Formats: sequence, structure tokens, C-alpha cells
Amino acid sequence: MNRLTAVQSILLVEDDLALRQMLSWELIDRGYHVVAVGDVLAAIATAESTAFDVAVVDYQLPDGDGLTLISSLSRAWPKLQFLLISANDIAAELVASEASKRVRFHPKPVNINTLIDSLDSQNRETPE
Amino acid sequence: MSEKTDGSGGVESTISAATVIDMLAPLSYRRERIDSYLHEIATAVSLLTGVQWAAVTMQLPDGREKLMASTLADYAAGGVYEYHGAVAGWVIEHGQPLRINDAIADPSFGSMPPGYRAYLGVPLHNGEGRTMGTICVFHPEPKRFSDEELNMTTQFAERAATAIDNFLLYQRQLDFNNQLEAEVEQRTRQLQETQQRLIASERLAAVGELASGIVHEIRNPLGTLSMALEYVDRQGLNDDASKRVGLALSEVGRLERLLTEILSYARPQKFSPEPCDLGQIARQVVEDAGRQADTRVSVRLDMAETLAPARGNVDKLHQVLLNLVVNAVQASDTGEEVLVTLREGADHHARVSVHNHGMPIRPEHIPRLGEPFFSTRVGGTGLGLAIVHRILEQHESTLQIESTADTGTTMWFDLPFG
Repeated sequence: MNRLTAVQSILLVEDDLALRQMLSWELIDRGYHVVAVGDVLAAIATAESTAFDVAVVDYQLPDGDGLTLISSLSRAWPKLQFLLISANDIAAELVASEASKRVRFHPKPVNINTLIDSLDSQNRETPE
Repeated sequence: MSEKTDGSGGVESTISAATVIDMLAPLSYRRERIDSYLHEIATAVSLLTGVQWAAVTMQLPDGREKLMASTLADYAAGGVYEYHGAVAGWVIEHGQPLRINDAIADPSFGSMPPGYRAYLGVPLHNGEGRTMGTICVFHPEPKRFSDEELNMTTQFAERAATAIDNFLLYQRQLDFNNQLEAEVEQRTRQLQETQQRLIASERLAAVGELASGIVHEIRNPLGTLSMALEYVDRQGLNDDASKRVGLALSEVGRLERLLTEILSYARPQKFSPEPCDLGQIARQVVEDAGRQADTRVSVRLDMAETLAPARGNVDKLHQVLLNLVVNAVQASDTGEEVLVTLREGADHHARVSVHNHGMPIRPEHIPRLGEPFFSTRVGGTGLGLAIVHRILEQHESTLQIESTADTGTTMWFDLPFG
């Protein structure tokens, strides 16, 4: 199934193997092109070789935090949108204070339907 | 001639009372300046007797005497001498003044310092009448010390005795204060440590109780979920559905293991030490670890042929060693070996160590490895080493960690034989 929306490709950065696997299956089933990695280094390396519309990033990663990764990626890819996922309240506050509004927050545990809604709403607000 | 004297020796008077008063008057005693005060006394006695060497001595607890003040550089203040068999010893032992006109003619009162012949000694009595020391006057030529010289020296001796007595009291008071202060500090520290241990153990008990409750409440719905997923799995699902159910079931298993570890860490633990055969525990752990998992890494045991039983709890030490071995296996690369070593260590202790190769632990992570939920491994609960720390704490032991790229990682602890 293919989605007829602007968001076609997703970079998923999540260190929990099972959650990463399940999210990948669900997103792929819904028509997204997904590349899933488990840490900051792999995320940066992947973004250098592939263009994405949205990066779904976990806040707590084994080799750094998701917001720092987002700020690196956003400098290199000005059109890339971000969705930070975390069970950490501090991460939500940090996203709320983020000025550019290119980053949205989605709390854990992740519900796939609300995650898709977030992607869709991001999609609608993304300037063409 | 020599004479013991009570002050009525009938020797010619040479010193006026006014002179003595003049010299006594300016003497001012401050406790912290005992040395200079006694030196002033020795100097006054030397001047008034016209004899070069006058000294103030104090009896030491070990049976020797210390020169507290001396007008002669050859016998400077601070020197310590044996007084038994010497003329000053006679004065101390008898508690009476002594005058010796010529020690060569009459050596019966004891030895004199080499080159001296005449002697005047006056005892220093404390408030209770005990002899604490002497004022001694030595002359190299035969000399007959007058009654006035004796009386004058006695007056100075009273001043010196009072000063030394006060000084000793002051010292004792200072020592007592210091001792008291040290004792208060030590007790306060002990109290604070006990209080901290109590708070920590109460907090842990409260957390343990809460955790037990939560774990119990989670386990029931988790059991239901697990059964439902297994039911769905048996319904002949297509591949997409089946892989999702399989993943969900493995996550239920992961949660179960996490809950068990949380309980292991947090529930109140009873500790009953007994003599443990560490060799048997290690053999069992190596066998369990081999069965549990990971054929890509081998686990080997290297132990001393005879090792006395160590003091601890068998089940808990089994858990400690198993956690360390599992940890080491997970940190190893394929084909590597994990080595468990049992040796007799220092100070009547057994040393248990677990070594693995693989990536070293970053130095800044090492101090954090006992913190609950701190993990450097993806998918780790961060409770394995926290449990090890808690159990070793009960055994009054600590986990030591050394990790370098060259030598790999070694974790070890010591246990007393018992």
C-alpha cells in the first residue's frame, strides 16, 4: 500500500530492538519507506546517504540524546521534520521550548495510530 | 662535707630577703610559656647563688628526668637523664633538700655530672606533696651552700613546682579535651553512618514493598496477555501476524525477567551467613551459564586445588557469580572465553574474579555500574550489577572493576574464610 502524502520516507532512530522492529513493520505496512537504526552514529551515517522527510527519534540513545541528534540533522537537512519519542517529561518540555517548531513530541508508550496522526498532522503543516 | 638539710644548716648568709623578693616579683607565669618561666627561675637561682649552672628538672613517668630549664648550654633544656644513682635522684626519692660541699670527698648521695663537685638540690612538690622534680645547682669547685641560698632556692622551687603542677594539670586537661573531642567526633560519625544506613535500609524496604506490590499487580495482567497472545499464535496466522505475535510474546518474556530482577534487587533481604564451598558454587554457575545461553562464548573455571570455605550465603553468592558471568558473556565477542578464577587472596580472604575480553568499559561508566537501571548494553536492565552490589554489601565486600583495551575486563570481590 502506498501513501499519497508528502511524508514518504522515515528515518527511525530507536535503541530498543523490539520496539524498533514493531514500529518498522507497522510503518512499512502503512506505505512509508523506513530505515531503522539504533544509535546516533548510525543515524548520522544513514542521513548522509539517504534523504528523508521525517526523522522519528528516541530521546535516550546509547551514544547521545535525541535532541542533540535532531539539532545536528536539522542543520544539515533544513527541510527534515522531526518527531521525538520518549517517556521522559523533560524531553517533552525541551520540545515545547524549541523555537523552530520543526520538532514534535510523542509520548511513550508509543501507540501506532496516534503516531501516524502526528505524522499526518506534521505532513499537513509542512510547507510545500 | 655533705648535709641533708631542713634549712637550719647555719651557713653564713649572703643573700638579702629584699633581693630574693626583687627577683621573684617580676616572674610571671603563663601556662603556654612554661619553658621561659622556668628558665627565668633557673637564671635567678644561678645569679643569687653566684653559681654558673642551675637547672630545673622534672621527673618523667619512665623513671628518668627531663631538664626543663638550664643555665648551661652544655646541658641544655630538653635533655633527658637517668636520675637513679645521681644526686638529683636522691632528692627526688627522699623528697628533701640536699647540700653537698664536695662530692669527691663524700660520694654517698650519688654521682655528679663530670667535672662538678658541689651541689645544692631542692625538691619540687606538687599540691599533694609528691615530688615532681628538682632545682639543682652544680659547682665545679667545693662549695658550702648557705642557709640563705637554700631558703632562696626553696622559694623559687615553690614557684617552679606550682608552675609545673599547673602546666601538667593544663596538659592533662588539654589531652582530656582533645580525647573528648575526638571521641565526640567519632561517636557523631558512627551515629551519622548508622543513621544513613538505617535511612537507606528503610527507604529500600519501602521501595521493596512498593516494588513487590507493583510487580505482583503487573504480573497478573501480563500473564493474561501472554495467554491471549499464545492463543492467537495457535490460530494459523499469516506471516505478518505471526511475526508480530512472536515479537510480542518475547517482549512479555522480557518484562517477566525485568520484574524478577526488580524483585531481586528491591525486596527486603534476609542475610544468614554460613560456610560456603565457593568451588561448588562456581562449578554450578559455570554449568548454568553454559546451559543458559550463548554457545558463541565459552566459560572456564580455574580454581585453587584446595580452598577453605568462605563466609557467606550460598544462594546469594550463586546469584552474584551468575550475574557476573552472564554479564561477561554478553560483553564478549564470538569465540572468546570467560574465565572464572578462585584463589586464596590476602588477609585470610578468598578472591573470586570473572574476566572477559571484548570492548573495555569506559572509565567514566565504571563508578556508575552499581546504580540501578544504569546499563551500557542495549537491552540491558541495569539491575544485574546493582543486585551484585547489594548482595556484596551484605557480605561486607565490594565489587572491584578493572577494564582496559589490552587486558579486557576483570570484576572481582573478596570474601573472608569462615
